[in-house]
Amino acid sequence: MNARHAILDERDALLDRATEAMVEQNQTHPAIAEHAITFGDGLFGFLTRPPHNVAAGSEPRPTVLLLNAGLIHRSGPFRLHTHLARELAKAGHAVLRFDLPGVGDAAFDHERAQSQIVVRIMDRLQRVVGSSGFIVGGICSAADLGWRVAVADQRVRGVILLDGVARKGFWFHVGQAQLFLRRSPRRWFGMLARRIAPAKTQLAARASDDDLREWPTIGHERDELAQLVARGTRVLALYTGGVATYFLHRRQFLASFGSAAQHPNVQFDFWPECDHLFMAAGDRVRLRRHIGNWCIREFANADAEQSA
Amino acid sequence: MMTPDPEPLFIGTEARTLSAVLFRPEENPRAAVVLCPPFFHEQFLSYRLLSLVARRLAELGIAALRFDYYGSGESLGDDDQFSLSGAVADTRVAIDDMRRRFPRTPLIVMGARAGAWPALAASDANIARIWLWQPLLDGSRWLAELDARDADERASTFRYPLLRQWPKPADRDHLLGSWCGSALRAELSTVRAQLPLCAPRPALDVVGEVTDAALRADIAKQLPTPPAALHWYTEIDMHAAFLSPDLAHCVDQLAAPFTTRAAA
Repeated sequence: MNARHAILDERDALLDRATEAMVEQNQTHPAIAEHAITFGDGLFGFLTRPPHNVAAGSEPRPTVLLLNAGLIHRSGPFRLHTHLARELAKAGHAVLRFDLPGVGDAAFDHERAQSQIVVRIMDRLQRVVGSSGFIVGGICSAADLGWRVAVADQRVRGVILLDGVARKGFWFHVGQAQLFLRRSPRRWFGMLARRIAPAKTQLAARASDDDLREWPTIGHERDELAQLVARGTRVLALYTGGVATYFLHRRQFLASFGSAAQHPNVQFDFWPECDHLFMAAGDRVRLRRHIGNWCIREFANADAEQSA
Repeated sequence: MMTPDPEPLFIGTEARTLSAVLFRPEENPRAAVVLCPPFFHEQFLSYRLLSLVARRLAELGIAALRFDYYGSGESLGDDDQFSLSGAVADTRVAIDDMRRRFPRTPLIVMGARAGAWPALAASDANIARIWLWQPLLDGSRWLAELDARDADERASTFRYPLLRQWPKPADRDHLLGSWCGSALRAELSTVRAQLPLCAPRPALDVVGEVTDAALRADIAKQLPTPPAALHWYTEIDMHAAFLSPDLAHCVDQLAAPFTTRAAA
């Protein structure tokens, strides 16, 4: 066991040196300062760093880890992550986009949990780049993984939940009723037919949310959010119309998470006119601006207040 | 079969830096492939599939370089800086890069879907083979399909269940979420897949159907589309997320001229 640890330590040290060399060697446009960075076991990503004049003399802002949205590789749907990384870097954040095992260029890894892999990547960024705090998250499964990492690791100072966990409950059914009434009476029959569909069909629909997503055990999300905000973690939770199978009414958020949802560290938004992958270019611009503003408000301003 | 880890790298010039990933075989490569990805949303939908193809090629002893065109994927450039002529120039950069890395090695250019156009246009007599994967042949026809699908998606109650009014308004100069301005549209509306006019002409192998009679006459080898790769360009498809036996078999057959004992 000790010998194995020694080998792993040696491998980590080698990787650190290789990573340092890659980061030192600015391999792309100086205005963007983007570096390829490897993490061992075939995992790699692109680290976008702020221009020197932004971060100079101030406390480094948390490093942002943009996690894979389902099976979509590290550049994100419609280049969302590429653009977001470059914009957040200009605002002073280092941003890493990388592929988890089984996505993009990364081979499958059946031995380690995804959250362990993200923690290991944070370890390496901390050692090599000097990151001390992190913001993690993304769309859908990225939000789920970001949540688990945030709960498990105190270095996470911010979590971005785009179509993350929520429970249906009473307000979901209110949302269903509102949706029903808003639709043309010509469509009521089809909607009703789906509601009273055979149990097998309904089971398949349910499997798409609760079973396919990696959410906390029902009820735990309340305690976990309370725990996160108590330790100062900022939470950006945004839901789109693309997850109408489980989120239909803005009051669902409070009902799902309890009083912690009203904590000043939590920002909640509901954008029913957007789809799950932000296909419309205008929606993506709006999202990037929204995340950028949240980062400035929660981290740049907080840092400024702290240093004053 | 183990191969070295894929290598992320940057190619091109400082002003036109392209993001790329190189899959090396364990030993000196028997051939080297430049993979030209599809355009628009099909670029990210294809990523895993082409990565699996590249990895398989490396296992077979063939080096493979996949890259993103300027203004797409992870390369530099804003979305509106992507163009067909730029994609052709970027493919030439990738070809030159592979020539430098692996001199005296047969070079293959592979184009997937719309990637067939830059693959064909950038190839010359020094290219050993061209591989077209589910190629698009006629740009104007593809644009018409994208226009129709864009309208369908914006009117979809599945994609936008909570809109107050359908369709969702179109984004100016965009098609299915990707930038497609008038200059790019003009380029695409006239493009057709055709072999380069050089002597000797590279051999042409195709995966999937080719309806164009002239191009069909030039095909050296045609393979059916593996079932796992039938739907990746219209939706995120789990079947194209891992190397299924049919996908591996298809890649093996493409690579056969370079991996058989006679070729060695």
